[in-house]
Amino acid sequence: MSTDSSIPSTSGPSSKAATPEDKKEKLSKFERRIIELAETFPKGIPDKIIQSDMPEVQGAERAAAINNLIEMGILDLYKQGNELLYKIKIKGTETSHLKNADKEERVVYEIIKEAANKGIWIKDIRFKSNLNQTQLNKILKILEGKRLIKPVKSVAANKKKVYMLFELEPDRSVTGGAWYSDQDFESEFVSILNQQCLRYLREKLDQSENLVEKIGPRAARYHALTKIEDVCNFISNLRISKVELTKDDIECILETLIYDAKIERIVKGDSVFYVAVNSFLDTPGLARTPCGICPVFKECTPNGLVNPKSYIFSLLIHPSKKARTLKPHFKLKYTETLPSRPLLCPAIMSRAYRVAQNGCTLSSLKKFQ
Amino acid sequence: MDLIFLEIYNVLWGSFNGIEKHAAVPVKNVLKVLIQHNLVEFSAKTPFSQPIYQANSRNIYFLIRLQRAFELIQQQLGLEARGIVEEIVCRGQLPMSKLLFICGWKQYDDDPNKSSLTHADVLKIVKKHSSTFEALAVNHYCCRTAQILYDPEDLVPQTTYNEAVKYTLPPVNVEVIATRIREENSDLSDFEDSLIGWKIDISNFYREWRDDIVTSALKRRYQNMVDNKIVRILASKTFTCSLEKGLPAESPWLTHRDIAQHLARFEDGEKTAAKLDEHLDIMLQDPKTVLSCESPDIGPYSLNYSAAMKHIMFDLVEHIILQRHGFFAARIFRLIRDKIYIEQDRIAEVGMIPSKEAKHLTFVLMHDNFIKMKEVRKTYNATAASNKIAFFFHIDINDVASALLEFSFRSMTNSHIRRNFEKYNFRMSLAKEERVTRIYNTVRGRGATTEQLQEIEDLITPPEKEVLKRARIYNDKLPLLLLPAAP
Repeated sequence: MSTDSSIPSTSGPSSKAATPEDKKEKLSKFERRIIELAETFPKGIPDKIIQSDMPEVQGAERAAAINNLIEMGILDLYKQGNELLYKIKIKGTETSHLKNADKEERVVYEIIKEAANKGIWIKDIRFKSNLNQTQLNKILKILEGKRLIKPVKSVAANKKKVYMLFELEPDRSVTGGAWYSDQDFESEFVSILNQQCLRYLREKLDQSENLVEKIGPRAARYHALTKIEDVCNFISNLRISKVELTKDDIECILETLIYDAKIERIVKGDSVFYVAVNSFLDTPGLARTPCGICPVFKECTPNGLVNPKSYIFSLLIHPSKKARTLKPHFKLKYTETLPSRPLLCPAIMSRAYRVAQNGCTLSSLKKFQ
Repeated sequence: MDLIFLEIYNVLWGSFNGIEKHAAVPVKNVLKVLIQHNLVEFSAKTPFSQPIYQANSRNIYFLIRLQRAFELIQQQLGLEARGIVEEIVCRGQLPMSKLLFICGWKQYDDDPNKSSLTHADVLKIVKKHSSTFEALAVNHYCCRTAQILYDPEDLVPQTTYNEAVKYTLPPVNVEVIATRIREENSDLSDFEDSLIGWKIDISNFYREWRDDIVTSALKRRYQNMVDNKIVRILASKTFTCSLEKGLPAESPWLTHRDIAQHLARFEDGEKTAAKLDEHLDIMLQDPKTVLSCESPDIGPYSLNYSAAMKHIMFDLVEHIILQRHGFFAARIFRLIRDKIYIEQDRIAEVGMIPSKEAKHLTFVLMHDNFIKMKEVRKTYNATAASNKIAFFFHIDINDVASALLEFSFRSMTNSHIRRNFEKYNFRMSLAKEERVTRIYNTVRGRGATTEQLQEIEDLITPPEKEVLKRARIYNDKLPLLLLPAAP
């Protein structure tokens, strides 16, 4: 590329100290016009626009000017499809660590920065930056070394690692919030919190039911209504959690209790209350018959291996722990039925279901597992 | 009769010749009986005016629930009313005078001192039956049958139904009925009402059962926050129901004043009436919206049966899922119901269930027909890979209902098979017990001493008694055997 006399030298101590404003003063008329165009189109300008705006400028001259502006950190180079885009660089975005970074590092840094606290997967960085895997790994290592970016394990997938800026706190969708530790869902912790929240709301309901005679139904009802702040205070006073639980965390727990039909959310004006509720029905008779809890009910036929005269039925008639924990691990010859072992992927489940609906043997279903 | 009925039921409707051809036996008399019992209906087939017979499924299903119907009548109107209803059910339909004669004569005949009964005594009996029957008609448990108009030109007689007099009692001379009972003369053809038949109005029974379910469910839900007397007043009778049109979706509208007036009739109703607005306010604020009102302060108020039944029905399904597959499964079911369409990942995330368990339970629920899966392609490409398809879970309530029906039928059959099996296993012990009981009763009748009776009792040893105790559980209670609810 040809050099222009007006292009400032980027080497030497004086150039290092120069501010972007100083740099701009030393720019040629043509370079200033490119900056103006880039400022007019903040989404970026393709080469065609520059060409049509200044047809008198030759290609080589244009390339030199653009290279100079990129080197000076005034312009950024992006690729959209097969076309190059020039964008004006936003002031104050460059960290001191990036000053000595090369173009590729800057590009990768910018891509990661755009992903914010949700992070970006390495495959997406590669796709956006057009860099090869080896080169990208090297750059990521350098940026990690400079403590500009950090890898964070995502709860969405076991082996998935996302990159984000070093100073950012990962989003809840990435870490899973307070309910995950090292990508593992803390189901016991959630269940304890669930129980405690319910206990608190249930106690309030019981108290209020006893108060109906004294203070009247409406006042008793208000006594049972509980704000989320009260539940938060109760849980924090219990000190069962090592991490500080936010209002959102407790709301998640209360949401599960709503889905368990044990509590309800009541909105009064701008305030939201939670209250324990009684179900409409007691356990129905059907669910209390031996067949109601039988794990091999589907396999039960009058003349089959599992039948109403068999041992398992007697176990179910006598309510014992053994019967309740009974699992369907009988070696049965399956015909026109689905395997008892869970299939993990919905797509496979769907296919297996379709096959089983038409009738198949266990061996033919095993291939889906 | 069974065979012909099955034929009619299998074809659902058919001509006389068609049924005769299928059944290969004379059907005329059988059809008459079935029509009398309201199990088969007939109509004219245009354009040739041929009679067409059709099985009445609603009345057939009602036969299964007859025992409950009798119990309901006994509970509400007493034993005599139950006797009248049983008589109507046995005969399908009959005129009021004949009904009073039969019921009166039965009581007269059962009386050990019937020869000493005067005309006044018998008249008293007939009048009592007459007033009970009137109560049955007033409460819409019995209604008139359709009148049949015979025209010699028509092959099929025409039927007319006058809704205005559906529950109106015809004039009946109880004096004559009492006289005929004493004379034991059963010829009542000269009575004015001999062509006006009466039958059971099954729609009202269904309404009563529905109201009972709603009232007890609301009692359980509100405990003592809302006095159940208010619910019972709101669920007071509505007589504008028919199974063809469907049961009413809401109770009659009652104002605040109406409810307070009804409450005053109860023993401690005034206390509740003083805080009636508070009780109603709690019901109105319930997100389940079981109570509707036009104005929150003065009403009128009405129970929303359709909303209440919807919640009760879902509660029932959720309880069954809870007992069968645990609380995580019930949570998933509610979650899918709430979100209508939801993906697998969201189920685990929103339900806060470990991913593997969520997947397993979703599969189990789908296997048991409680939920359905819908594939939505992300691309238009028909041969797209499975990762290009989104899988949404949703609930098809009709499928859930049929799955539960099948589940219920199979449970009942299994319990029945098991009961017969146990009966067979304990047949020796049961036979011995029967023999010993017979001896015990004979000896006691002859005035045996306590020691002798004890000796006979001791013929059954303690281990045998244990076996018999178990046998009794199986034989007597197995169809109704309920296990304690899982913790």
